[in-house]
Amino acid sequence: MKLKLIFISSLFFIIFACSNKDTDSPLIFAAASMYDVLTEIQKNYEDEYNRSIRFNFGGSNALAIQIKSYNAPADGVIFAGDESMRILLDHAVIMQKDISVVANNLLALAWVDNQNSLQVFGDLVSTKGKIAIADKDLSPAGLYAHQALETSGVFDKVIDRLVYLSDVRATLNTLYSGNTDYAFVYLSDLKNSNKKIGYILINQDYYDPINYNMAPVSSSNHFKDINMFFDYIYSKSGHEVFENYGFIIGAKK
Amino acid sequence: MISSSELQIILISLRASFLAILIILPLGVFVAWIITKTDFKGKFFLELISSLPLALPPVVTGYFLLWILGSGSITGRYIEIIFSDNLAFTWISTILAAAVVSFPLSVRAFTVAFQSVDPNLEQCARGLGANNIKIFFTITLPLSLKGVFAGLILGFARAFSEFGATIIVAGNIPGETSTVPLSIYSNIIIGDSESATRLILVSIFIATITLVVHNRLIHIGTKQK
Repeated sequence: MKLKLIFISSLFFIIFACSNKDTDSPLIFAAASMYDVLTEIQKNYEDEYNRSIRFNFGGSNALAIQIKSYNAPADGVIFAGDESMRILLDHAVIMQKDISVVANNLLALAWVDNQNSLQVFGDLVSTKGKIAIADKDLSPAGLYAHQALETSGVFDKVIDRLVYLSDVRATLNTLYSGNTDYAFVYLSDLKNSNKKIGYILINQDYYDPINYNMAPVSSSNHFKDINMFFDYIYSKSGHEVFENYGFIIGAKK
Repeated sequence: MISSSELQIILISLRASFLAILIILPLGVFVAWIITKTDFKGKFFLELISSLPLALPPVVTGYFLLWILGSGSITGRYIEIIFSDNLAFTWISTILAAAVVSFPLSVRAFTVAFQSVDPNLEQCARGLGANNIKIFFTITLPLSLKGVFAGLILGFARAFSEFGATIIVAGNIPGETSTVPLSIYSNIIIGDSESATRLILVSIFIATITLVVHNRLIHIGTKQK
């Protein structure tokens, strides 16, 4: 009997213990790769302005489809890459004039072992060992890396050494585990890495700009609140957080 | 050690799973009773629909739920009028996703439990003048109580581990709909392997407990026969 009581009371405790945030506050659909930087900005914003904002994190393209096809109740979006923005533009969910670039990322070629170090990207041809790259169909990072290899003319010479992985995190992990010798990664991934890693930045003319875009949803009731939060992201304190996480601010669009 | 935000994630998951089996209990018992004790023309469809989420990719179930709850459909618009809010991407949709996906598993267990009751006993009760409702509550349910409980536990385990349908219909909103599996996913993407590991250990712990209890119940049930 006593056990039953404990069980039932703990059940009620669990049901009512977790308080929910005000579900009336604006909801922004955002790329999962920005989870840490955005949750930090969210906390700063809420502390400073005493206004709450909510995030829903997922893959950019999947989120765009949830909004476009199923009317998912998003008030604003912050996505990686231009493709997901185009999906929403095509369906008039957002307007071109409302889109702004939050931050940029840069593509880097990284290695762990000092013996593998490079001075210029083209020297990759004269090295040995496996090269980790994200699959271009599965991940935007793979697409940028692919562009860089092709435009620099390196692709054909290293094609046998490429190891394809599902996403940019996975490429970095193969480097850590010693299964590959080089990896195409984002600069932001390296900034937060606590392991010792060498890298070179790849010439930005070799690949399309890596943009993170944001826009309010045109039909949202929270249009003003969203713009206020976006202004905060553009403020000095917002930019600082982005830079701490290795993103580039104010680069070319 | 588990941080306070991780504790909140675990509580969100536990709440969703408990409330999911609370929904499943009356509805699932009713459906299982219809399946085992009655016979009618459309029964095949009831069996099919009630077990469909078991075989469908959870993502498909999620999109279907999103369509039902979203403001684009008729049902969604009625729900919005009744609750004066869109239920998609709220903590309620987390519970619904968990309930729908776990439902077939529990119903299957309930069905087996009801079938294991000696039909002669039910016939006897009927002969003595009891109606269906009385037979169910005095004969069928008491004799299959362990099986029903085992089915609920199994549903709980499935609800706790639910990912695919949840991320589509409820999203991954920290502090609101981010359950343990969704948070593990976020942590892996941003490379927070320490937090991911802690939540993975919690999942293994809860899965182990629920399955041990489940197996015990079923084992005891067969021994008594």
